[in-house]
Amino acid sequence: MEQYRHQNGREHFPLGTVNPGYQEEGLHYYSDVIPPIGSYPGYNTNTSAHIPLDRRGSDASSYHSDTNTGPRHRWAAQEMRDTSILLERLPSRQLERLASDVAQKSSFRQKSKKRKSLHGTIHIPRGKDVSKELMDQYNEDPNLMNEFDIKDTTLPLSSKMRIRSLTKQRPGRLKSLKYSCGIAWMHFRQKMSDFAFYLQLWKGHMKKIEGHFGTGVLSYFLFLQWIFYINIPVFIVTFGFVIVPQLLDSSNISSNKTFTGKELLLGTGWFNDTIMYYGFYTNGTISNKYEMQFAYLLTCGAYYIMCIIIIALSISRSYKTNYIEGSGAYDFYYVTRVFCGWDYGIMAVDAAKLKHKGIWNELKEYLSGIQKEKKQATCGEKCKWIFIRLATNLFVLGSIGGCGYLIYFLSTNKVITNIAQEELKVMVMPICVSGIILILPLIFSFIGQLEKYEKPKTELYVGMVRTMLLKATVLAVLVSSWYRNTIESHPCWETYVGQEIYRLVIVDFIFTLLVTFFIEFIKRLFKEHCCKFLNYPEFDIGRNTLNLIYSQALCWLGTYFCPILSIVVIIKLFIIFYVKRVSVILNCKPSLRPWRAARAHTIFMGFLFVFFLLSAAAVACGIIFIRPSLNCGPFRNKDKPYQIVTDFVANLNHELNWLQVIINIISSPGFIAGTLVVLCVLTYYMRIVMVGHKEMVTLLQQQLAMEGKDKAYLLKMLQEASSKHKDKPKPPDRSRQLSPGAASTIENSRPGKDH
Amino acid sequence: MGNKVTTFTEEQLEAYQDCTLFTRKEILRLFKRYRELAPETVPLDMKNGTKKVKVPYSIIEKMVELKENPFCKNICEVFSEDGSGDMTFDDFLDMCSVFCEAAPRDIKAAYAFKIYDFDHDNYLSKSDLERALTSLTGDGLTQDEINFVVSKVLEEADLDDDGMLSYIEFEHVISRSPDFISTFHIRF
Repeated sequence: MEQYRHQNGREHFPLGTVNPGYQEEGLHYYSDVIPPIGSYPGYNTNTSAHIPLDRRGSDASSYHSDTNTGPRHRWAAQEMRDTSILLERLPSRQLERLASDVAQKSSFRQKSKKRKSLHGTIHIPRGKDVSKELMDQYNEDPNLMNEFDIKDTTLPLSSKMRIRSLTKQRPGRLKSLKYSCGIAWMHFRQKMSDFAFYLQLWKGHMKKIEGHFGTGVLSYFLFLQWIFYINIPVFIVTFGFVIVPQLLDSSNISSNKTFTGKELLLGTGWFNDTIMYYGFYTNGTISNKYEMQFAYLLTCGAYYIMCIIIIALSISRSYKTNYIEGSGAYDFYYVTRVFCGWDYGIMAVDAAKLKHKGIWNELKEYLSGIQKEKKQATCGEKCKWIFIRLATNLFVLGSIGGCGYLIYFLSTNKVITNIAQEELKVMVMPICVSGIILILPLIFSFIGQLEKYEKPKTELYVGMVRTMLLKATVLAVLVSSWYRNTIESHPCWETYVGQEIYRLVIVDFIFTLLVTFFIEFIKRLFKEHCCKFLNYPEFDIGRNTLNLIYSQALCWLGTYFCPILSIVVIIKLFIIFYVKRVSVILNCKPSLRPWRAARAHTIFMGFLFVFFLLSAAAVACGIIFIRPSLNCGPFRNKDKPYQIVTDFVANLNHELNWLQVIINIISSPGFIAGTLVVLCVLTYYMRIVMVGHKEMVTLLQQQLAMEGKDKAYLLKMLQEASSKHKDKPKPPDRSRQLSPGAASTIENSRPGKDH
Repeated sequence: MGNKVTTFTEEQLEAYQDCTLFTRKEILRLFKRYRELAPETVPLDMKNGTKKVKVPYSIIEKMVELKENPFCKNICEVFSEDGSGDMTFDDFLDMCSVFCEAAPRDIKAAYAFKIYDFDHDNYLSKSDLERALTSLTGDGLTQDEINFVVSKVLEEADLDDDGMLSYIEFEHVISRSPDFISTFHIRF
């Protein structure tokens, strides 16, 4: 074994057996990371070759601690120790320590510069004096402390504090200005997070829900909180720039109607001539300085732009973590179930039991699904299922079309206007809309069960797409009927539209409360007192989240016509949070089915984004194409509200002529078309790069597997050479196995080996 | 702030803030939590040193956040300084820091690896995987099924085919899993 002894931290092995793939030019990218055996540039020669033993005293002999029986997997004791010592000195066993050097030297992992975690510390056990080792590294490279944040290491806290105190005693080595700026910035950030800690709403409730139900149900409440937060800046902007100036303006006479309770439901009456609706706002200049027209329009634009930036950032971040990094050539089903299966936030006993059962169920289902014979569906079977699915989809589309027509009919026909009673007349439409939105998705989910998709995930997604299509259709028909019909029939049509939307929001709120009451509370009472055959109600995450998205879309649609709507929606969300939270803890039981919260969150954000775009498009149509009413509102003397902007641009002074020229160029069709073409080319390029990377990843993974086989072969050769060296008699054809997985591959790949 | 008895010196609090992901208020709140576990053992005044006071494992495992966790014992052993499960306040803070929402994915993956490594040999061998699986499902799966799942796990994740998962392989798989961050999270 002498010639294989460790020499200056380098291993010396005959190079003839190196995988020729190492020496190919095109793969230099790969060989930088795992250098050919024989040269080891990044190896830290200061540390001893001996791996620090874990404090629990496990030594090399526990390398193969599995008890898989059988002669193929058993080691001879003597060789085991020798080979284990060999193995411990292999470069790959030191790989983790190397990876920290590599991570700092090359950009192999493409991590962001902010976070460079020292993977090398994974091997350093707790309780050992690790600070000395890090101090040695620090002595070699004084800039080490600049490059990583001590929070990002996996050292125990006491070691971190020791290192911090040690390095703090050497201020001269760090660039003192940069250090003090960094410290000041960190203190500022910490003060901000202290402040944010106080502002955080509902923390205790979230913890309780997570403890009982896990991350699935929690994701609904987190989504609600997120939408609550996104409405707050919208409200602040509208309040600050539109409502407050109007309140300060004293040119409007207060109405002589009295306030009765009915206005909260109907939105008419006393509310009519208040700041609630578009119609109240003046088109003049307040205090000779503040132009209301500009303020109204630009505020509208501002909060749309704000919302689009927030949603776009959120969705891109969510997509990146959940889809891009989670995709690739491999679908790690089993690994994810074993390592990410347990929800660490669960605290209640019954939820834990249910989680155990759920994991067991999932695995059993998957196992039984694999072991079933996968028969090729016969042509007749396939045709049958295609026909069934076609029929169901046609039915769904037909029902959506039917509902759209119903709404159209109700809005145009004189049926409604013939109703005498005022309150009933205005409430018919919202109740009808909310009723459709409540009942039809239940029918869709029932149809989805009939279709018998293979994966429950597909059934869920199809159901969600159908529900959202229905809601979008209903809203689209409503908006188009408003834009077309109400203009003639009402003197101040924007106020009327605002009232309609307000009523929709209120009725939606009432229906949510009623549904929660009936589906969850009453069902639980029935289950406990009379009908034992029912199941306990489960919290339907998908349906509830889609309802939240619908209500938020209404808010975006309506804020232009009814500026107060954002605070109404904020109050509504606040009440709904408490109602749902009480109901879920009191009535519901956790579900057995796992809910993939991360992927579902991305899809819900996608729906939210689509609905946001639709609402913004609808309002933009109203601004750009529809004539404002003559007697009310900030745009009453204009042909179109958008005219304000065009007039402004046209009347720019000569000093600002260049601005005018620029705006004209930007809004010309040629420029817009050119920008679109450039964006399409960029998207195509990104896609090509992604495809290339995927192929590279597959190649590299194959390389890695080959490396493992090579290593096993080399070790086998070493072992035989070492035992020959010891002159031990051995039967020539007894095969020695190195690792369980490599055995068969070696035998298959090299049948005629010579020792 | 404005307490009559301050628990930590300013330097201690600053040190904690630099080395963990918590703000001052959170650290004090967590200390309150820690003290509630064993009011007789933990003094109100920790200025003299935080190393001497240890809350024994038998109390920690009854914490409401850890009680139902099948990996409770592993968690306590990984985070405690001496491996026995008795935790000083530093260990406790470390644990809360790793499990909090703001902890980066790398740190969580590193500690997840340590937690799942039952025999502490820095590899996830078959026995580690089997024990993890049994902790998750109780006694529901037969031995054949357990072997099947373990072999599937190794097939998916073991890139160099040596029958065990090293940290690099584990991290490679875990970082591709979108649910890891949301499930590996405890609110203390």
